[in-house]
Amino acid sequence: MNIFPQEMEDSNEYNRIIKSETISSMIFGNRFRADQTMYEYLIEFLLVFTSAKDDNLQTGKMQFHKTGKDKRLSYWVEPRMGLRRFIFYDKARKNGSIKADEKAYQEMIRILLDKMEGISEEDGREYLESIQDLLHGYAVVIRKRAWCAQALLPICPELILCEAMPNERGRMKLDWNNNQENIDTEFNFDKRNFLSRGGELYYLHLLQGLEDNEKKRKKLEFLLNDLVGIQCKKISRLASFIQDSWEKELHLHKDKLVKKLSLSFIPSQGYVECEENSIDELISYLSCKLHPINRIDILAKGVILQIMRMMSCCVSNYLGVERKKWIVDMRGSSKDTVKKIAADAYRSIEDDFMTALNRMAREAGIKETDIMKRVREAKRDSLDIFRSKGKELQCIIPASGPFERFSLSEDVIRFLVLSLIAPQEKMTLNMFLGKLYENYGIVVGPDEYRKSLDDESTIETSLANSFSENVIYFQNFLKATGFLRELSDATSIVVNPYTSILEEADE
Amino acid sequence: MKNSEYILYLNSLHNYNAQNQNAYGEKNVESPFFNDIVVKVGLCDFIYERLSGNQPHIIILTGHAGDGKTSTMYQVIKDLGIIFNTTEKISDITLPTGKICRCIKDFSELADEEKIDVLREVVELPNQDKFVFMVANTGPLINTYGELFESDEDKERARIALIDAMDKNAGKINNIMGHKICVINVATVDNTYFATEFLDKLVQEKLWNKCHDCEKRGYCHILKNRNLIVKNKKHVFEFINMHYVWLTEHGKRLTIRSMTEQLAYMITGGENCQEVVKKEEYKYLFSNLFFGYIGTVANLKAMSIVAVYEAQKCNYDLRRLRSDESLLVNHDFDELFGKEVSEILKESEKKNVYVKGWTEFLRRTYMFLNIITDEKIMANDSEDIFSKQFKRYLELRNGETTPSKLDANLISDALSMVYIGTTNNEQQIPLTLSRESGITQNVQLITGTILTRQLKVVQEVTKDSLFNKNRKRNVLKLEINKQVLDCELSLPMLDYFEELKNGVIATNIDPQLSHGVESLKAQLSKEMDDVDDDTIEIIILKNNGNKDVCLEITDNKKIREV
Repeated sequence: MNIFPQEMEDSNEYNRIIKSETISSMIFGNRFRADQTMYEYLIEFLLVFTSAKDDNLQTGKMQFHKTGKDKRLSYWVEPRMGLRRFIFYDKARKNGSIKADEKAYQEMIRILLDKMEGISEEDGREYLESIQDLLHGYAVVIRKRAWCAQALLPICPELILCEAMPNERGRMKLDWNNNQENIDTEFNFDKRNFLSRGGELYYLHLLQGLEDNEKKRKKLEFLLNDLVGIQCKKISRLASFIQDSWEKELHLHKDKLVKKLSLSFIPSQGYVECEENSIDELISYLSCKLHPINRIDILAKGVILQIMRMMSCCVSNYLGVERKKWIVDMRGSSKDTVKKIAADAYRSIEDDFMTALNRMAREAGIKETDIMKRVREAKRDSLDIFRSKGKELQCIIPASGPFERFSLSEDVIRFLVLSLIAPQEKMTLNMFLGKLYENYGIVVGPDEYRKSLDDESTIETSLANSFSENVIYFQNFLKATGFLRELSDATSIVVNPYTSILEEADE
Repeated sequence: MKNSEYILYLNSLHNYNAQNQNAYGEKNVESPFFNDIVVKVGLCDFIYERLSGNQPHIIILTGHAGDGKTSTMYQVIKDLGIIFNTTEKISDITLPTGKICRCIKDFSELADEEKIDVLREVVELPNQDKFVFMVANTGPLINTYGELFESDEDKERARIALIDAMDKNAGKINNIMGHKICVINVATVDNTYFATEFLDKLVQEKLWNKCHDCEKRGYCHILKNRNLIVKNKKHVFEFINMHYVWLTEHGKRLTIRSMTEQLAYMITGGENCQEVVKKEEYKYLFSNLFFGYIGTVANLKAMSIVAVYEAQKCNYDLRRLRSDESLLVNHDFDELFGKEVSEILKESEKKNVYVKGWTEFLRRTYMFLNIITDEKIMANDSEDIFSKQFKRYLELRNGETTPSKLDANLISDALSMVYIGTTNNEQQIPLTLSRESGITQNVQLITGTILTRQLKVVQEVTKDSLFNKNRKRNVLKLEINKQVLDCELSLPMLDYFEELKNGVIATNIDPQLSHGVESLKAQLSKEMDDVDDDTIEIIILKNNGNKDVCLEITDNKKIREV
C-alpha cells in the first residue's frame, strides 16, 4: 500500500497497523473511529494546524507541516489542564471525586482571586463564576465524560484542547501537598479515544493537496489564522491569562506540560480525486465574513461533509470503480420515484463500502474464521461513521427506519453555497446544480440524473418531472435561506452575499 | 347584452374558463379595446430615449413571462411612430434618427440553432452603427450567449457577466465580452402601481355606457361590481394597492399578467353577458371574487388564477379586527357601508347569518367597501388586516415621509433583544459573541457597542425611478455612525422586530428572516467590533436585570475592574 506521508512507511506504527490487520485503516488511513463526535473532527484538525510543529514549541504554529523532511510529522500540544479544570471541573459529573483535583480546583480559584486588584472577595467570586459561565457557554461536547475530556467550540487557539483521558489509578495516588508538579501530567494524552485521528486524516488530506501549491497554502493559512486567531481575541486573552497564572503560581514548566503527538498516514491515492475540491471549497468558505461563531459552527458541519466525500472517494478508488453519485431527495416524506431512486443509490454506496471492506480482508490474508469479526469492526469504523454523521447532518434521512437516502439540510446547503461560490459572486441555479454534481456528485435535477446514468440515455418524461420537482423544492429551500434571487420565471441565481475577508485584507 | 363584446374581452384576459387568449401581449395588442385599457409604463420612455440616442447598442428586455415585455416593445415602437408587423419574429425598423434597429419580438421562441445564429449576428450590429431591441426570456438568453464563445472558461465568464448585468439592472450600457449591451430586467422593477391604473381604465365610463340600455342592467352583477368600484374608488384602490405591495414585500411579486387576470375576473366572475341571470346579490360581489369566493363558499375553480389563489392564501378575512364589534356584533351596516352595500348585506343576512363563512364574508366586504373616514379606525384596520408596521413602511417606501427616531428605536429594541434578550433602556446596545444553539449562555462577552443615538433608519432610492421617471420607491437601511449597512430592512423584518420588541419570541422563525437577521449581525460585527480594545467586558443576564462588568488584565498580570 502506498501511503502519504511516505516517511511513515518505515515506521513502527505503520508496521504495527499492517500487522494488526485493521481493515478500515488499511483502506482509509489511520484512522476513523466511531467515538469521535462531529465537532471533534474540526477540533482535531485545528489542533494540528495551530500547534507547534517542532520541539522548540514555537515553529510551525498556525501553519501546515512542511513535508518531505524525511521524518515523521509531529506536533506539540499544550493540554492546558488548569484552564480546563477551571471551566469544567465544577460543572462536571464526578465519579468518586479525586481529592487532588478538588484541591487543585480550589487552588485555581484562590490564585485567580488573589489576582483581583481592588475588587472585594464577594465580587471577585461572582466575576470568576461569570467567567466560568462565559467560557462554559462555548462547550460543545459534554455528554457523560469526565471534566478533562469535555470539549469547547474551537474559537481561539487556547480553547482548542487536545484529548486528555483521566488516568484514575494514577490520579488517586497523587498527593496534592507534596507533589503538585504532576497534577497536570497524570493524564493519558495519547489514547485517541475521542480525538481519534479523524481530524488528522482530514489534515493530511489537505496537506497532501497543498504539497505543491504554495499559493493556496498561504491563502489557507491566512484564512485559518483569521478563523481562530483574530475573531475572538478577547476570549483568547482571558483563557491564556487563566492558564498562565496557574502555571506560574504552581511553578509548572511548559516543556514538561507539552505533549508530542504524531500524525499517522492516509493512502496516497485514496483521496487525491477530491483534494483540490476540498482545498478550494475550504478557501471559499473561510473567505466569507460571517458572524465568527456561526462561521465555526457551520464549518464543523462542512468538514464532516467533506470527510464523507473523502470516504466515498476512497472506497471507489480502492475498488477501481467510478464514484457513486449522491442522489438527494429534497422532498422528505414523498412516496415518489425520486425517493426510491435515491434510496437505491444510497444502498449501492453502502454496498460499495462493504465490498471494499471484504476485499481488503481477503487481500490482507485475514484468517477465514476472523473475517466476519474483522469486517464488522471495520464497518463500525467506516461505513457506520459515514451513515451516523450523515444522519447527524441530516443529509442522510430518515433518522431511523427504512429507505435511507441522501437529502440536504439548511446548514449543509449553507456550507455548500458558501464553499462553491466565492464571496459576492453568483451563478445561475443550473450552474450551481452542475457544480454540486461536479464537486460532490450530488444529483438534484433531471440533467444531473441523466448524466449520472452510464449510457447518458434520455430519461422518461415522468421521471424527469419528478426530478424537476425535486429541483423546485431545492430552489424554494435556497430561496428561504436567502441565497437565491429570481431573475425571471425560468432563471434564478444563487448568490453568496457575504463579503470577502481576503479582499478586505488586500485593501 | 349591449356590451357583450367588452365583457367577452374582459373574460379573455383571465384563464378562469381556460380562454385567455388576450392574456398574451402579442394577441392583446390586436384587440380593439387594447388602446383604451393599456397602461403606459414609464419604461417605454426610458427605452424610447435610448433608441433616440446616438450610441447604437443592444437593448435586451427580460423578466418574468407575463411582465408586459412584449406590450412594452409594441408601445415603444408605436411611440416612435412606426407601424410594426406583429407577425414577424425579427424585423428591421428605421428609427426617427435614421438609424436602423433590429427588433426581435421573442428571442425565446426561436429554434435553438436559430438562436445562436441570430445572437451571433446581433452582437455585431452595434459595430455597424445599428441598434438592437429584443425581448428575451432570461434562461435561453444566458445559455445562448455563452454558446457564442469557444472555450468553456469564456462561456462561463460570458454567462456570469450577463447574469451580473441582469442582477444589477442599472439601465446602463455594459461592455460584456466586448459587446455593448443594456439589459433591462423588468422582474426587479416594482409593478404594484400598475393594478390601480389598470383597474381605473377597466371601469372607465366610455367602456360601460352601452350597459345603461341593457335589459339585464337591473340585476347584472358585472355592472353592479363596476359601479361599486367606481363609487368606492378611493378605498378599493387603496386596498388593492396595499395588497399587492404586501405580497411583493413577502416575496410573492405578481406579474402584470397575473394582476390583469385577477382584476378582470373580479369584475365579471368569469361570466359573459349571456350567462348573467338573476341571483343573490351578495354572492358575486367583487370583494368575494377577488379572493376566489362565491358568497360564503370558496370557489375552487378560481384557484387556477394565480393571483386569486395568492390572495386567498393571505387569509386576511380570518384576522380579528378591532372593527369586528361594530361589524359582527352590532351590525352597524348603515354606518359602515354605503346605502347600496348596506341593503345587500341586510337582505342576505336574513338567510345567512348562521352560515359558516358569513363572518369572513362580512370582513371581505368591509375591507373593500367600508366608508369609514375616521383616521384612527382606518389605521387600526390596516394594522389588524396587515401588520402594525405596514402603514408606516408604506409611507416610507413611497417617500411620503422620512424615518424618525421612533423607527430607529424599534430597531434598537429589537437588536437589544437579539443580543442580550431584553429590550433596551440604556443609551447603548452591547453586541455579544453568543451562540445560537447549544447551551444557553447567561454570561456573554461584549465585542462592541452601538450607541443608540448613532443608530438611524435611512431611505435609499431604488432603481425604479430610473425606468419610471415619476415613481420613486425607497428601501430602508440601517445607518450606524454615519455608515449605511448593506442590508435591507424588509417589511417582514420590521414586523419581526416589532414582535421581538413586544417580547414575542418565535422559536421557529422563517429562514428568510433568520437570514436577514444573521446578515445584519454579520454586518454589525464587521463594523462595530472593537478587537483592539484591551478590556474584557461581559454582560451577566439575571432575572432582576443585567449586570455589565468590565475587567482589565493589567501588565503585571492582575485583574482590575474598569
